[in-house]
Amino acid sequence: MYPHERSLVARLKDKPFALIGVNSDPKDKVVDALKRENITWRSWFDGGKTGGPIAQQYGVTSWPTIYVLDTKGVIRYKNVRGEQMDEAVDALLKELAAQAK
Amino acid sequence: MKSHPKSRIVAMACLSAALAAPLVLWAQDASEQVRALKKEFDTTYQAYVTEFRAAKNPTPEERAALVAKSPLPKFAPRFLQLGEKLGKDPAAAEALVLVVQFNPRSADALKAFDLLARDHVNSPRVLPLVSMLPRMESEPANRLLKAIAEKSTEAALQTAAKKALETASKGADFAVGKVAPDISGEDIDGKAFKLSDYRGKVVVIDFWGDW
Repeated sequence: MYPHERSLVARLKDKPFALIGVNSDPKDKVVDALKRENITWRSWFDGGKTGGPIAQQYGVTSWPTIYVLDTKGVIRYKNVRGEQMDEAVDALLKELAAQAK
Repeated sequence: MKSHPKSRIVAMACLSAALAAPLVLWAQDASEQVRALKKEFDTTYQAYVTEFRAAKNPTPEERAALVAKSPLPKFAPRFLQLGEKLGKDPAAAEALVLVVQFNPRSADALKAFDLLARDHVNSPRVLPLVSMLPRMESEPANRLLKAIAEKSTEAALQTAAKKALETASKGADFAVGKVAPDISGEDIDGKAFKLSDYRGKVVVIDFWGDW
């Protein structure tokens, strides 16, 4: 999962795109993962455990859970992984480019 | 009442036995039918799994061909038909639950949901389904949950269904097409930031953990 997300973030670094994590690990474990996996994207620290405040707010009970939002904050895709995540993000960026024309 | 005849009691006993016998036979027959189909399915499915595992590093085409061989779509209509035929018989619930477990989004499963809601809201067989249903975000699945919550006389089932309905309604707020509620919190370094800071960008929110 990390290599895929790293390459997605790298590929779209000049685009209006952001990958944001909500992390359910204890702090020392996250810090370790960020370093070890060279994770450049930002994450909320969600209380150090599953069922933290953000997971509760979103009713998340299984991990990973993924939401893809458009530029207005509307949920457009859910639980897309790997290539599907790339396709979802590319489709939304394309939509944005078409609107700008 | 001199004429309280033993023979009449005997006659009644015989009569009720005669009436009950086909019912007992039918019940045995019903669970036997489900068991037989289940056995046929298990054997076929085992063979399929073995074949799947034997294919080491299949190409995407080979993989697709293997997936297409899955016996689930062939067995789902047969279990559905049996469940439909057996009606209120408790054995029917087992067959219908299997249809849903095979593929909860299949057309067969949609029918199975409604049959379960109509005839099997008290069946313990339905309990394992209840917790998986809210994630479906499907109307027939929610109808089944509602039927159990309203009609079931089994306390455990009813409680589970009520809880599942709450989860389902929460899930509906986070369905595709809804605006994602703002998130505010702190990053790993303790800096506060909000989801709404990212309006104007395409955003992937990834609930993750390092495990």
